[in-house]
Order: sequence, then structure tokens, then C-alpha cells
Amino acid sequence: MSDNALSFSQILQEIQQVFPDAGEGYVRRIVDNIVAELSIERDLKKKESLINSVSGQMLYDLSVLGPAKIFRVDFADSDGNYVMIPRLLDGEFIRKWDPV
Amino acid sequence: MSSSINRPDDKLSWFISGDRIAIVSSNTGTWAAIDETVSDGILVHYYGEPEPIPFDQPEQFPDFPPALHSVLVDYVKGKLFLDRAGQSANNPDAAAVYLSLSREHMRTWRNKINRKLPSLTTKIAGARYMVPFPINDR
Repeated sequence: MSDNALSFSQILQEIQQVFPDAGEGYVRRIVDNIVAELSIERDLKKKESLINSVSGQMLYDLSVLGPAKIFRVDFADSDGNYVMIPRLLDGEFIRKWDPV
Repeated sequence: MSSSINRPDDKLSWFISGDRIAIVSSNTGTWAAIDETVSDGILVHYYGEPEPIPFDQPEQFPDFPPALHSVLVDYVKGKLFLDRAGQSANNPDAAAVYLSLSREHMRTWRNKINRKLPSLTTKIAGARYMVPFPINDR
């Protein structure tokens, strides 16, 4: 971690210089909320997730990821490597939906 | 199970449908569900929420660019001064002072975020410019 980095307890100490009665839980929630909000808004946190593919299933639930902006999808090839697959920009013409 | 697809980039595509991702194959000439059951077969890359700071580890660093940790202090102070202004409703002079302090901290926060963040999210050094194709190639 760089020299500019501040741990949460250091941030709390700086806050309590001005607000001695500031509660740790309250400050923690404010910090967590703004970090989460800004990370989503400005695309700061890249993450990855693995999903099992199932034969005959077209749609896979993403709600477990929480707020997520998907920018790339890979699929495992026969050698076990993950290969980027293209995004289909016009999925509207698919009429027959498979059950999830 | 492992995959039997040789070149997934030739046969498969994805798109988003609401809160779900669709993986489709063009094997049969039309887009349809894939006929592969593969453990951990799909790798999804996404921008998501960072992990919150654990309650039992206050020494942990926020999952945020380190150069911006100091401006988190400004943001929290801005919020706390705003709270204090609200609590001082029966003393308008004090409330006005707290409100102006809150605005000052929020202004500092916004300025630093807008100024520093673009330079922190790139790893490419130097000026960016486009080189046009030569008009006369002789």
C-alpha cells in the first residue's frame, strides 16, 4: 500500500479530531456507502465470477453479483483456457426462450 | 465436466437480459442455448462493488485508490457538519456556520475526485494523441 493510503482507523482518528463523539459504526457506514457508490459510478473495482454452464440453459442468474456492469465474458475451451466470446448486440430476434 | 468446444469465440455469444446473462450458440444456424455442461465454464468480468471494511479489522484499508483515501476524510467531515447543522436548528448562526463548513468540505471532495480520479484510473503514461494516416503515401 502506498504512503498516501489511510486505514479505516486512521480515517476515524482524523474525523475524531474534529468530531470526538463520532461513532465508529456511523463513520464506517458513510465510508462504505460512498466507496461503493463511487466504485460503481466510475468503474473503479474490477471483479470476476465463475458460473457453471448447463446444457440446454440459455439464461443464468446474475443477481448474486450485486450491482454489476459486465464488460467481458469468457468461456472455457477444450484445453481449459478461458477465451473471450463476443457480445451479441441484437438479442431481440431470439423468440424461443429456454427455461432458466 | 470440462468443455469440448474448441473455439468458443467462433460459436458462442452473450447478451444481457434484465438481471440475467444469456449464453447462446450458433451451432445449428440459429441462436440457441448451448449443449455443454461445464463446471466453472463461464467467466464473467464486471465492475462491481468493493468489499466493505470488516467490523473486526479497523486497520484494513478501504478498497479504493490509495491517493483518494485522504479525501474520504473530507467527505465524512462534510456529512458530519451537515448533521450538526441539522441538530443546531434552534441556533441559526451556528447552523449557518456548520452548513458553510459542510459545503467547503464537499467542494474539496468533489474537486479532488474530479481532478485526481481520471489520472488514477489509467496506467498509460504521457500525452494521448491520434496519428492520422498519411494522406500522401509516396
